[in-house]
Amino acid sequence: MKITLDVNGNLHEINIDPGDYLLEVLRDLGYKSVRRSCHSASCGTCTVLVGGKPVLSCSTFAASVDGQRIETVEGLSQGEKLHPIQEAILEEGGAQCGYCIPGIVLTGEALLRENPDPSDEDIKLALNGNICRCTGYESQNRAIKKAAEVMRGDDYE
Amino acid sequence: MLSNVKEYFRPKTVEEAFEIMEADREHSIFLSGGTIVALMESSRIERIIDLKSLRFDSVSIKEDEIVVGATTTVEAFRKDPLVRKEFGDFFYDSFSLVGSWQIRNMATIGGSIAPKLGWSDVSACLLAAGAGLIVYGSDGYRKMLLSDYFALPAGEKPLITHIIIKKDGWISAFEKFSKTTFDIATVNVALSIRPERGRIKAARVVCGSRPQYPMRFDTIESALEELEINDLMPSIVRSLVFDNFTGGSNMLASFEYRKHLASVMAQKAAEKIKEMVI
Amino acid sequence: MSDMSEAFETVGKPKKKLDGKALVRGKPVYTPDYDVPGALIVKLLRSPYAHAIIKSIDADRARAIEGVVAILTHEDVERIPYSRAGQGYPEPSPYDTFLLDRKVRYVGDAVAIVAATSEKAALKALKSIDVEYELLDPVLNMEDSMREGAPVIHDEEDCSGVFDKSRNIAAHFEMEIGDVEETLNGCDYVITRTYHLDTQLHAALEPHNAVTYLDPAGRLIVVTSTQVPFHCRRILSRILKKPISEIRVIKPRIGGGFGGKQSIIAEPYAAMVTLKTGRPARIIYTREEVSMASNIRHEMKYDITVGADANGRIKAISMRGLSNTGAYGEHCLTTFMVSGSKTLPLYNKVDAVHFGGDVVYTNLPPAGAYRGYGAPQGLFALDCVIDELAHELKIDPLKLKEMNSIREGETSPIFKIMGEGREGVPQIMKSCKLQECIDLGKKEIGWDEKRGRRMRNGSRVRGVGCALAMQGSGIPKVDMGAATLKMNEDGSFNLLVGATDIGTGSDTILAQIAAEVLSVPLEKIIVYSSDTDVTPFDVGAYASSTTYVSGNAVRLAAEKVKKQILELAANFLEREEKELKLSAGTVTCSDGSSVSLEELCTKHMYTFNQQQIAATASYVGEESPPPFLATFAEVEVDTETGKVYLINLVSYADCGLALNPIQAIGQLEGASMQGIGWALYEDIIYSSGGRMLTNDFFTYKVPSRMDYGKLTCGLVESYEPTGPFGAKSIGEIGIDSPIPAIGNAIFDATGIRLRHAPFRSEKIFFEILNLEV
Repeated sequence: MKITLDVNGNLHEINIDPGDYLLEVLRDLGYKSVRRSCHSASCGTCTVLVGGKPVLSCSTFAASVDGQRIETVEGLSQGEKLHPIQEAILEEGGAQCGYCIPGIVLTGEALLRENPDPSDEDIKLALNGNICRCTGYESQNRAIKKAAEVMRGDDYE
Repeated sequence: MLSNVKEYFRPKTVEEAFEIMEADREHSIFLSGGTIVALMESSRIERIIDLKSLRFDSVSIKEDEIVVGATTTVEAFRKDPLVRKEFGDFFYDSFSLVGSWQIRNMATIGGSIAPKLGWSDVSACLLAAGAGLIVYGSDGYRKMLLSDYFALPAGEKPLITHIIIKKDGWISAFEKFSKTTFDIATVNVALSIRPERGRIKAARVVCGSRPQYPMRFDTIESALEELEINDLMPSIVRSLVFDNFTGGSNMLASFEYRKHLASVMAQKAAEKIKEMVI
Repeated sequence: MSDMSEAFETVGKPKKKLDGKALVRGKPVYTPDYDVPGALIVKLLRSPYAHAIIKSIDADRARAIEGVVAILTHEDVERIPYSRAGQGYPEPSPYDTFLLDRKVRYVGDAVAIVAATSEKAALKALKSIDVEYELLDPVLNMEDSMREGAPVIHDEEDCSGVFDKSRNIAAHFEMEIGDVEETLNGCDYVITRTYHLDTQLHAALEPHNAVTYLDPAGRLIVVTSTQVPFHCRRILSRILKKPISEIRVIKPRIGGGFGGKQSIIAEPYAAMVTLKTGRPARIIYTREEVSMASNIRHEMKYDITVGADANGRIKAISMRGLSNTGAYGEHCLTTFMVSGSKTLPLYNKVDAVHFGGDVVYTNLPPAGAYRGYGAPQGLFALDCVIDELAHELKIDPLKLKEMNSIREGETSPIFKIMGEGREGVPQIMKSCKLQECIDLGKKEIGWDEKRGRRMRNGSRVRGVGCALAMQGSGIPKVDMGAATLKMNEDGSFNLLVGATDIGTGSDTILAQIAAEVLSVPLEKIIVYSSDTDVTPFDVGAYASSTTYVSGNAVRLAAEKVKKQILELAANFLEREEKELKLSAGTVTCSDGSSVSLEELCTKHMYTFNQQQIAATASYVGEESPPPFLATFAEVEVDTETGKVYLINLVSYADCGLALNPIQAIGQLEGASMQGIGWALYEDIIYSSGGRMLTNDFFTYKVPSRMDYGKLTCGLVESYEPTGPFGAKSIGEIGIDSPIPAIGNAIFDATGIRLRHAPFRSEKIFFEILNLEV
């Protein structure tokens, strides 16, 4: 069946099988930042934003988001300039193997859009569904807090 | 993965959705939030009927009822201003640990009820809230109680279109015990009472994830009638739940442990209610 | 940052990871991200039984499915015994594994390989292969493995290196120093306890996967998520009977390993398909396969006896262990030895020590390497029994551990006797800041204020516990790493290392070492790692060897290059070499003349005394200087539910100089969290038939952000003279201590001593209930 996906502002008109999940469809389109780590909707690695909300692409049928706006981490940085969350993660050491990072950056961005001044508890609750096995979470939580501050700052647009 | 799916339907009306399902029930599945369907590894499914295209995703007030479209997401529901105005933090807090933020953005109220999941926090809370459903079946639309829906035999289930929650002024609380915070409940308890002059006029007591589906315990509910809401009330609730809990053992916990946990969760929920009333 | 690192430009600084930008931008840098057009999808048919013989296997129906290209069974592949263990050759592990065997030994064991042009076809084929099994009785509990009449799991003629096949003993080890029995007789206090630590899953987010293809010259190219590219190449050569020179193994970025990828697991299946069909092949394990059919941690049980005098001086320790290596024996002897060799030296003031026991086969998923590598299991027994001894003696357990533990300048005879799979090397602790770690940690947690207080918070009660740990830095006289540095005309350098960055940031710290020696900014070092055709040898990422062993190799190579530069510059500037200094990218002479590295290299590349400025160096550790750790846990136990809330875990480590403090702390925090998960949440449950039920993240719960209170990790700097710029290692040690620290804290809070971990809330609940009755 034919569907149209708006990914990071790029329109893709594609043919899919009705049972295809968004995760594999995005990867086949070249958005390799969207990755699979489990088959039970239990790790958050595959998180993308649909209509600005973080959802699991592994459990979303591509057909169900026909015509909707999807964001992956490829769309967050402009050229060489990193998104503040990405920059903060680098500064705080929040990326070790990096597999969980696209999901974390997107979920963090969705949080900050809704709540530009989140408390530590807000951050933990929002990202509780993004498992990381490498870092022990501390550096990532600090990174989100730091990015929030940067994004609230006067120099940031 | 659902490797055998051949058709994906996006019905515009409830009638259309139901008709498509009836055409081949054995090989079809309704899709709402998607998280449950994604957990299935079924080669049986050849037809997906996407209910989100029905756009039953809003919350409205109708006289003394809150009417919730079945495809409203758990997150949208818990944060809805109408819901918070009427029910305070009950749904806001109770649903805050349903899965993860991502899952709450996908799972729907109707989709949480329909598969009659044992562990569903949503089902437990709605049962305690005395929720009703508007469903569409072979004999058209009708209203039914959530508890009656759960009593239907498998395969007979009509399509849920709306969830109705009465603004009845009852006070509710929910507690769950789980191993980690991103986990299903080992057991959960939802308690709702109608206070009158410092006493429990009536109660709805629900235990879920027993591991079986959430159920009201009418023996406990009767025993609570006329009970004074004071410092002793929570421990009485606890003993009643302990004595009357039914359920079983599984990987997560033994029946014995569940019984204890349910009683402790019940006491905690009762404490919360006591604080709200006094 | 520290005093020592103030003296350095690059080393000791929290530099951002070299691969960081690519990771945060989601660039396609992992094995599954590389598109290989036409790659066949490889899936494995797996045994549903724990122990069975394949009587017949008929794949005709499956072969007829459109899209199916090849199906391989044990009848189609040559029977070659090997070990999956990614270890130095000759591997100290039994050669008891076959690519496809006539016998299956655990639920999930490979039965057939399917290669198809689509995943759909491959999955359909899996359902269309008819296998007739003859069921055998399984051994599903390690306590049953050695019993009289137990089914023999490895009865095949052609396996080798098994200690005693007939009794399912994969390995056995005994060691005694002094006379334990006699010494115990002279002790005032002797206690004997049994400690049991269940298995654990690595749960690295990237599943095991590989893609293989033949290059135009017919060489086999393997791109894989591995910690051990060189061992992979060698073992593939054996299994496939293809010369090492015809195999190339490349490791791109990988999504975590933790030891789970220190064995050759998925690669051989894809490689065999490529060889048989001539076509590229890709295999990606599902999460369920990673859990059930890759490898898990060795479950271990210890009977431990400790004897002390009335003053608390521990005079004798005896540990007898039983380790469960599952269906196959990779890493069986070495993990068992490490549980003694990297724990017992901590308490070096004893007169006598014994360590011994058996590693047995069971019909459960194979156990393999996992961060800590036996040390956490041994430490659970050792630290907790000393904790128990302290309570008998009515001494503060921290004090007892302090007064008996090793310090700088001291040694332990165990270092010489116990290595990994063989003898070790004697060593004196040239750097040990264990006391400082203890002092900082106890203050941070509030040890003296909180111990024994049992502060109540409604139905909850608090307690604190401590644990001390050590590990090692590489396997001495065994682990070798090498580095090649070559210079470019813009004054930059290519650093080629076999060392394997599995997310640890080793590429970055190795570059920092080179940059420091060569006095250039970090940006001038371009790292390329883990490609067996291009980078020199390295054992791979394990045994906490990368910083110490590979780091020293880089340092040596950089020093060689620096020497070349100075020699060439002396010739170029017509000055004496001893008048020259290299700093800030320039060679300057004491008389003011100078040449930039850029100019020097450009000239030597094109017009003057042309040669490639480059050097290769190797390093093997003569020693394995241990990092040290002091961990303190504060818990709150809900007496009404048995649930343990981790209020705070404090860990201070001495890793020598931290070459990159952010990465070092990251290792400590990450390892601590894995230890916390193992202590409190990560249960593995099998069905009565031996099938792993907790094989996905829905059922196997690793900690999430909200599952702990505070995690406070810190570093205490020491200077290890044999390490690069004073560094030792930090990769593993953090996981050793959380279980004993938390177990000891639960005891402090409730008086309940748990000797079986993970500490399940249901168990704690009923223990509390029993106490109250």
